[in-house]
Amino acid sequence: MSNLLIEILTEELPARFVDSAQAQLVEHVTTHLDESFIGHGDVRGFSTPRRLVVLVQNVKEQTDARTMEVKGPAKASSYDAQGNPTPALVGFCRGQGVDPADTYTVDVAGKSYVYARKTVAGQKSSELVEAFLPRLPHEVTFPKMMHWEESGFQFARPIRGLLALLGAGVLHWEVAGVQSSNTTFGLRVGKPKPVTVTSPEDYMRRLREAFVIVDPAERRRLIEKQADKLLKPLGLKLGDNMGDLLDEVVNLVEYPSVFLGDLPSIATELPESIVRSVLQQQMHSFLVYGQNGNVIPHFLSVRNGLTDFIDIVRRGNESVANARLLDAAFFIQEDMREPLEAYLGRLDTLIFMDNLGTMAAKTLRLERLAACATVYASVTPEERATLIAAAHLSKADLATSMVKEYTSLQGEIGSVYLSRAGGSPDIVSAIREQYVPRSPSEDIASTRAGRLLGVIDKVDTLTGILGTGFNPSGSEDPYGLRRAGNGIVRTIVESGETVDLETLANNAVEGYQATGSLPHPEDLGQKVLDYLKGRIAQYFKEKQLTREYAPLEYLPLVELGSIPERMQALHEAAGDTVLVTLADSHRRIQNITKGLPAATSLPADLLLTDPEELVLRQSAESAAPRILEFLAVRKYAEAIRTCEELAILVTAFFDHILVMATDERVRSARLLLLCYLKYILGLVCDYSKLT
Amino acid sequence: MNFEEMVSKLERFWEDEGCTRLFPYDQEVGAGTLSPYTFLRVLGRKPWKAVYVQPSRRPADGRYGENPNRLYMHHQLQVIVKPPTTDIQDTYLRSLYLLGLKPAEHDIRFVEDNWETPVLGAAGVGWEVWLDGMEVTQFTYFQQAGGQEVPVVAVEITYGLERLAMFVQEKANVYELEWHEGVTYGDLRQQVERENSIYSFEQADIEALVTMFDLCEKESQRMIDKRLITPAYEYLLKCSHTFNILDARGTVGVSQRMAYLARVRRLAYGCANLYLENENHE
Repeated sequence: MSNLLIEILTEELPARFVDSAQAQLVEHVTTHLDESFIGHGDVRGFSTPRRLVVLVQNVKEQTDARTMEVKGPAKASSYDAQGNPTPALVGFCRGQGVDPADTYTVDVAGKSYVYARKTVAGQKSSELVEAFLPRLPHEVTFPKMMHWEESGFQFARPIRGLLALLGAGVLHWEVAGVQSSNTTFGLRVGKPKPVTVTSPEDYMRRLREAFVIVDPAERRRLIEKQADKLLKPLGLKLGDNMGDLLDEVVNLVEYPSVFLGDLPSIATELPESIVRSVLQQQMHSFLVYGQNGNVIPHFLSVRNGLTDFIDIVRRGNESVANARLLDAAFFIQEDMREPLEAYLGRLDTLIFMDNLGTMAAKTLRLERLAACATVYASVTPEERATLIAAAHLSKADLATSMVKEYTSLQGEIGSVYLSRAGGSPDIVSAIREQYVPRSPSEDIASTRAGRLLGVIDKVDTLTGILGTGFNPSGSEDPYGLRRAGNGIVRTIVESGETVDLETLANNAVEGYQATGSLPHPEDLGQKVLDYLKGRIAQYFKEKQLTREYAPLEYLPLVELGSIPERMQALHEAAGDTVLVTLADSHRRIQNITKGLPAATSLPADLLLTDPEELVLRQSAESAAPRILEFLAVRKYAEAIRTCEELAILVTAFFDHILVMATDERVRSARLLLLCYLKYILGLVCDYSKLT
Repeated sequence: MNFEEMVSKLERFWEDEGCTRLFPYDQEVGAGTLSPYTFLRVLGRKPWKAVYVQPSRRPADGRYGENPNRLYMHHQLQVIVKPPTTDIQDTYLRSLYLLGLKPAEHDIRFVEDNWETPVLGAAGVGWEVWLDGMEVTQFTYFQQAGGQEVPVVAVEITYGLERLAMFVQEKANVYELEWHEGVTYGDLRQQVERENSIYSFEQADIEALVTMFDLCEKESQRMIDKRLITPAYEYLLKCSHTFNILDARGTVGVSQRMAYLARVRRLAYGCANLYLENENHE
């Protein structure tokens, strides 16, 4: 047995692509090995900005011989009237290398087919790996691809080297004009010198000598350790929520060396959020804090390379930080000559998106949506007033020099300017939080107005883009629809906010009709809801919650925000033995009423005569308003208990009643009763999915 | 190393790499990409290797000669290598050696940055090159030009000469750069920057410029109809610069802006199509 090493050496990959590419490569290599019946141990992935690597332990030299069953022609066309093999059968047997006499027949979906059993001899793993290697780079996809040479092959960045070793042997592999070899290249220092790798085990060591740490987890540990060593003695620390930036930095360097730089004194006069953004987004560097959370005029940055000459690198970065912060200070000073309100007048010179009008028009739509907030959300008059005021000013900062320079500071700048001018704290925080959450790891907005402003802004955006006829399929997401959709779903689910998305979406469509027109307004409200349902399904899938709970099938969208509480109640009920009965009942009801819609009214009394069905009908009738009442006040535990009481009666019903009665009217009455139960049990959750 | 030495070293370096050294295109352009030495030559299949300095005017970036970093006109060194060699990144890094910038002594990084010039229907994938945190070069693989996928990819390397010189000369203010011994960037450029900023922000005659745009557009289209690419393209460049001044003057509304860009784009596509048709006939 030997180890297998595969390295794709590229020009610098975008940091945001690296983790996914590494995972995809591991997945595809594993699949290919398994499909080729190659015995193997651990498959591990590694990566740097310039290489994607897979290392497979203990690959068997040969696959085992195995027997295989091959499907041939239909029996009917395999033998003629005399029972002799037809040319079809003879041809199949020749192809498989078996004698017609050794075939047998198998029934597949009611039809007989000839099968042959053949023995496949063991094959050399090296040849099998060489057979799948060329497919590998084609299987890795990126959010944005490019071509660079005559074959037109697409990858994230040009491939410049291929390393494929099985033990000490080089596997033949060619992609986009690049041939495999047993060499690679180290960190870009000095003249590029090939690094020869004699075996997979040798690879990491060789690259380490060439100043490349191939394992991203190790680079991360190194950065953390070095940062600690620099900061601890000075009593300093990094800010919270630095995970995303650290992830990015890990994929920007092959050999990390952390250094501490000084910030100019202007840094202490600027709002912390702005200094932090400038450092993070424009320099991939970290702001440093004292133990009590105060900003310290230093920044921490990671060089790609050794500590040699690091003072030169530090000075360079310091002067860039200085220039950027001076620039920011200059812009802020210029911007603040006028109040935030004054920038509203310039929003008609800013386009929201292609074909979707200006930011001024968007502002009008948001104000409109804010004004009717009472229709789709339960807001107090004060909250509504805050929301309207925040919507009014929400996009003003887009016209400031500061946001034109630092786009990612949208929202932040508006809130800083408004707050410095003495604006109401509620409005200030709503403006700051309207774009939150910007990433999957960022917390949702902390204030009510911030959450609602964010939701209406994103619904307006979704509506507009879908209304241009844009089809949001495929891996590219040029307009950030997915992020908007995920932001809406996360905000509602994680805050428990009640938002009637259907009404909101329809209001959003009307908003566009009032300020102009959309090329594809047909069924637009529904399209927005369908898109959101897709995001909800994805959200629950990622949280692995769909099995017990199918909110999409059984819940109106307006209840999205109540899902966590429902889950909690269900979780607490898990000890009840009756819950099992309830799950059973729900399942049986669903099975027998398959294809029938849930009913919101009960069958007439007259047709139900047996005691079990009469009791069930009566109890269902009295339980329904109670369940609805509990749901209205979000007492899900009580609602579940009421359903459990019904479940016992459902069991008795099934034990004594034949639903499929011969009298058609009786049968429909019984089915209708069950459809009604399907409706009221489904109001809380889908118990049938409980195990 | 003063500005002119730096420029000649880089030019000489790329000449040695097989690039034809050209003079700046003698018309106002917003970026080296707009020069026909880039825009037209990246179209089609013919190989092309060139290096040239291109003064680039962006009226909206003018700061009256008062900002240490921002300019109405800056200088780009534009390198086009089509098709790219497989070691093009290393070749670029070697060019920095000439300026005394060794990878071992600095942190030189290729940070994702893709550009798009909608007005030319051009798009590319690549990086900005960071030198100890400062962006000094834009490094791009052309993917589209004239609204079409390019059949042969060209690499465009655009050195920001002022940025690079500020780094090499360790100057925080662009006007303090030494251009020639005893002659500063400020001596040569500061007054010009001031005048051009006053012009484009305050004095430009809007009505006259609107008329000029219309005339140049008409003339460009007329030349496209006559299948004369060079004059057609030169009038397109005049349209583009005229629009940039109007834009800086702050008089162009959004829908108008879109319309102007679409008009320039139509001319660009017209020129690109002619260029490709000619190449196909050869």
